[in-house]
Amino acid sequence: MFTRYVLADLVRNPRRTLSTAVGVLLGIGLFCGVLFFVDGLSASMTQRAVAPLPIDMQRILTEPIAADLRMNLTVTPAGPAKPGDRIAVRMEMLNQGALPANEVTVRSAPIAGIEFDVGSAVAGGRSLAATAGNPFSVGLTKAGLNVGTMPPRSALVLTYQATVSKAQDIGAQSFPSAFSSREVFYPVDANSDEKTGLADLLGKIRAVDGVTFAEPLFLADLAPGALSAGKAVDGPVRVFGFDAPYASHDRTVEIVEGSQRAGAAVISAEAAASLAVGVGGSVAIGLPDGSRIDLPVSGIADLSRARALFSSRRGADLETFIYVPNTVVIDTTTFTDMVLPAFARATTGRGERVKSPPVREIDIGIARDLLDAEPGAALEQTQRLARIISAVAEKQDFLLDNISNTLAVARDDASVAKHMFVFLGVPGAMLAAMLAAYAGVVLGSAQRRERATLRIRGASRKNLLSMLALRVSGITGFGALIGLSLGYASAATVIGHATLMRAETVTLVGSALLGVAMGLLATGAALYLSGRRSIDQEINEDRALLWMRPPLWRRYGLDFAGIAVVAVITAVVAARSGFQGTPGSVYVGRAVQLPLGLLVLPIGAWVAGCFLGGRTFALFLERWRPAPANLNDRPLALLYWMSVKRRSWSLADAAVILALIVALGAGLAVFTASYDGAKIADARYVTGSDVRITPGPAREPSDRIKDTAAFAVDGIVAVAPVIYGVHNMVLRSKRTSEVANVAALDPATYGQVAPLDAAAFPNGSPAAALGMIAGRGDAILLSRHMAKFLEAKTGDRLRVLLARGTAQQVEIEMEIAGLYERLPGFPDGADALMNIERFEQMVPSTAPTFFLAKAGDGSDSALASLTVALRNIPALGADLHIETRLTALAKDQSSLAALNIGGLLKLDYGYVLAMGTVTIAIFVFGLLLQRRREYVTLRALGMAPGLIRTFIGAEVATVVLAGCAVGMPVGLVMAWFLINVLRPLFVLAPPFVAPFGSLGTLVGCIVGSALITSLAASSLVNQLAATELLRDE
Amino acid sequence: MVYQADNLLPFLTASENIRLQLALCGDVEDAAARTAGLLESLGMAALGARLPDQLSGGQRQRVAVARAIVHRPSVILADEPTGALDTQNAAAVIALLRAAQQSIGATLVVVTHDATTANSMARRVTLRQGKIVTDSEVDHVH
Repeated sequence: MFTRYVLADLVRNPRRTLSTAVGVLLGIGLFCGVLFFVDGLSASMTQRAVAPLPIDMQRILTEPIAADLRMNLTVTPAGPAKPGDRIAVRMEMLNQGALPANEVTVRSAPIAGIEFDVGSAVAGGRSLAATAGNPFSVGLTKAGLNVGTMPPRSALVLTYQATVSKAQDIGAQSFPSAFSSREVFYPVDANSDEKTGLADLLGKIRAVDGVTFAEPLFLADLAPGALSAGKAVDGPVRVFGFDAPYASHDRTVEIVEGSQRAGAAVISAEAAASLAVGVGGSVAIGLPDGSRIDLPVSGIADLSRARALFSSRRGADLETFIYVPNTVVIDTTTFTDMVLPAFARATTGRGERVKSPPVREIDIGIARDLLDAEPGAALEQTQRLARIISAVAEKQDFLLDNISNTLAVARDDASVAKHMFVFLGVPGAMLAAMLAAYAGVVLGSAQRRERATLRIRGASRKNLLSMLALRVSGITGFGALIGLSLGYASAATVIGHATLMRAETVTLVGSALLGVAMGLLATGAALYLSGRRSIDQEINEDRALLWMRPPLWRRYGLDFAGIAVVAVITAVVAARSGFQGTPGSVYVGRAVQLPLGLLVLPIGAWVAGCFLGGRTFALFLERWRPAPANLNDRPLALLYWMSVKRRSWSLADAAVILALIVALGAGLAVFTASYDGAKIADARYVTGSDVRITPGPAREPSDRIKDTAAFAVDGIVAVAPVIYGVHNMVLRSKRTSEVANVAALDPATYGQVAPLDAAAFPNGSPAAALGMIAGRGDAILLSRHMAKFLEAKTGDRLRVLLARGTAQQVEIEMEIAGLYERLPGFPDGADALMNIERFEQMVPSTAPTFFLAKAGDGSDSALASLTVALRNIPALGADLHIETRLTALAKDQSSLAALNIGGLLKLDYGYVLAMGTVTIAIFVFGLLLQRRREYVTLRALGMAPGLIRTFIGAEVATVVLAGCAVGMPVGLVMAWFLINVLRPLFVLAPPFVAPFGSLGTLVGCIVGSALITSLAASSLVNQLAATELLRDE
Repeated sequence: MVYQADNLLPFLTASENIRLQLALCGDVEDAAARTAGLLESLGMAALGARLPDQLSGGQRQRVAVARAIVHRPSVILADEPTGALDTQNAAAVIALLRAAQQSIGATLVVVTHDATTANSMARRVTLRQGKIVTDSEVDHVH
């Protein structure tokens, strides 16, 4: 019976039902929308994270290029041993190769429970009794015994004895032994298996399920001038060995002329320019043993962006992009047949030492389309695959798992993103719950008469509560259905349907269930509790006090408490620099670390601020005494003043809800604008200016661009040339020296084009610092990090080696004119800054590495046009590599800064606008429901419809004004907190941007909604017949 | 008009409810004094500043009658004016209406199911299912 009554009530009062359901459906819509948004975004994180990665895994081969050494270890007797038993250890070193092995070192030591018998060691029949202790494991470093050079196809037997001190099984494993030599860098265990050959290894890795390609890559660094064609190139040379299939997998290897073919060389454009040789010519490669390869040139390549080729494989600077302009590429067969033997000969030659042996690796690509969309799950997949690949010829070589390293960062970023997104979605969900509660209060009050009738007919409190529960269930059930659809549609609108569909169906269903459950819980509880409070108040017969009774939060001063808590936490956090997090980057393998717990501060400030504003507004209305002398003689004035004064809490409730909406909208709008501004500023900082122009490798020396006038196209107002290189100089202080990256630039134009950050120059302004190197040729600016390493300070003099590793290298003395933290335009980090004029005096042949250009109009469309204009420069544009701030973010894709936080904020903002509109509608139509009889009475008393319309409009305007007046400042405070909590997302301190357009839209929506609903309400009032008053109550 | 329910505006005091009627009619001359006098004549001089929810049912209905007559209408329509009142308050309200009718010379039309109230009127028209059944005038009313 109750169910039928409630159903009839819901169906026959559609306006009331829909008004309540709107709060619920917006709440559930927002919950689901945020969760779907996170699902969609997470689902694209894997692909975004791995997109910039050219090579997924690298199997580095450790098999020595020279010397075929092996150690056979035997122990006698083997098996169970008791304390006091003596064990004989025999190590047989074999050089099975055709070349000598130099400085062969043997290490061996018994494990715990077995003691070396001092004086028992014998090497090649010669006793080592004179050596104290174990000669095969000396000192803290456990240094082995150097047995010198082993001739080709020779053997050496080494023995020693040991005594068992603790009962155990004895075997070869009881005496861990290994050897190394000048040719064998990585120690090799005794009795190790024969190495699997490259061809076998390739075949086995290619056969692994999930591997799409596995290609060999060899590289070796040769002496300066090792590449020649009549004349030699200046500077170091690198030779690569790879075949055409390898190049097809790496899009950064660009063959700009000719092609790659077996038995021929592809040379870099820089080498081609330096040697003045083209396709069809020939080059000679000088090898370290003095031999030479003469090869025809079949192609010219631009390798300047081939990160996989030039990323350092050395532990000290792993992954650093160290470009070698003079490069030659040959096929793997030629490399194996010619280059490796030359290195082997050089390595094994008496007295010779090759500092950088050739690197041999197998570069592996995996099936990325099979990876799970979620980075964490994808990481498990790649790690599983890495284990399988490592298990192929186990304990031989090692694997660089680039894709897993990248996904580990993406996984951590995704985790932070989910937490942050949920936090950013929380205010919207709270607002939806409050809106539902407000609707419940307004409509609960409108149902008072009906409930009174039910009580007269014998309905108990329990009956009324049961009916309330049924009503809430009906409304929330209806709201859930619509809300779920709304959430899906809104998320799809913001991030795109295709992106959303990348998420697993199970994930989406899980989010839908979670969103509906949370939404139902929050809005349902809000509706039920507000309805129950209304029932209890009526049953307690305090109707006379009903409209005078302040809400709970006011009675207990929760707004004051909230403000105090927020203020105290803010002061403590600020004092402890708690707003500082850790910026993230995939390059350094680090996820962003945000102090997400502090997101309670903006939420706290938001809620407490709006409630405090509501309290102030109510008190203002109560104590406001406009009271003109003849107020009682002016019906409209009398009605308005007395209504707002004596029903101040009714208006304050609406104003608080509206203030919450305006504050959230304003906070999100300001944060979005500041976030966008910060992203633009960061991107511009990374780029160095609006546009970064990197000339392609010049084919002829005369083609080198030195004059900035080459880029004089419409829209560019200033251009700064920059010479920059990684590890292109050596700095030497009185205490130590270090290889460094120097940037040489024109201080005047760089100051104009680069977004210099004053905070990055601790000892003065950027202009003053640049002025120092502009005025003095011997002045150099040093990064604080480098100055600390060199133990140098401002005013100290340094020896500076420029053009390191080239024939033109020159050492000069310079004085440290100042320090800086970081510079725009050098994401790899510039350790030192000097005047380009001075650099060119000392190294005359150097041309600028890139140019930074400032655009007159920095808008997206202007930059796009500028890019087109630069590309269209005759005989030059096609070879330019042009980056703008629009392309900069793509370089660090898995960083959280690249996430679509803006999308989430837009989602939230859209719901805020909808809620603002709905709140006004609920308020106005709530007035109509609650005061219908008042308006009819006024009509019966002879009040003109226009005056009633004005009366309604004036009350609505008061609420709108109060809501905006309170909400705007609270929103700005909320945005301030959001910006500070999310500060680690950015390189530069985010600006505080007030987007007047968005704020105007927000206010406009609310005012427009107020106008429309007021007019609609007035129209409804005008349709009310005065005879309604004749109805029996 | 006087209704079965008082239909006073809940945010206005008794006095303000009465003065609102004067203001709506544009009859604001001596409004304060006339309102006070009327309240005094109703025995509610001390209750003028009270809100409707702070008055009893009878007091509220008396204020409603005062609001109906304060602007001296030529016709006073009363729809079950005593329906929600006890006998004593009902008699007081009818007496008030009669007195007002006599003092301002208005025509008083009362709709009621109460025979006592009906018998106190000068002319009684009985309706049944929308049709006049009886129509009688009496010389002396009680």
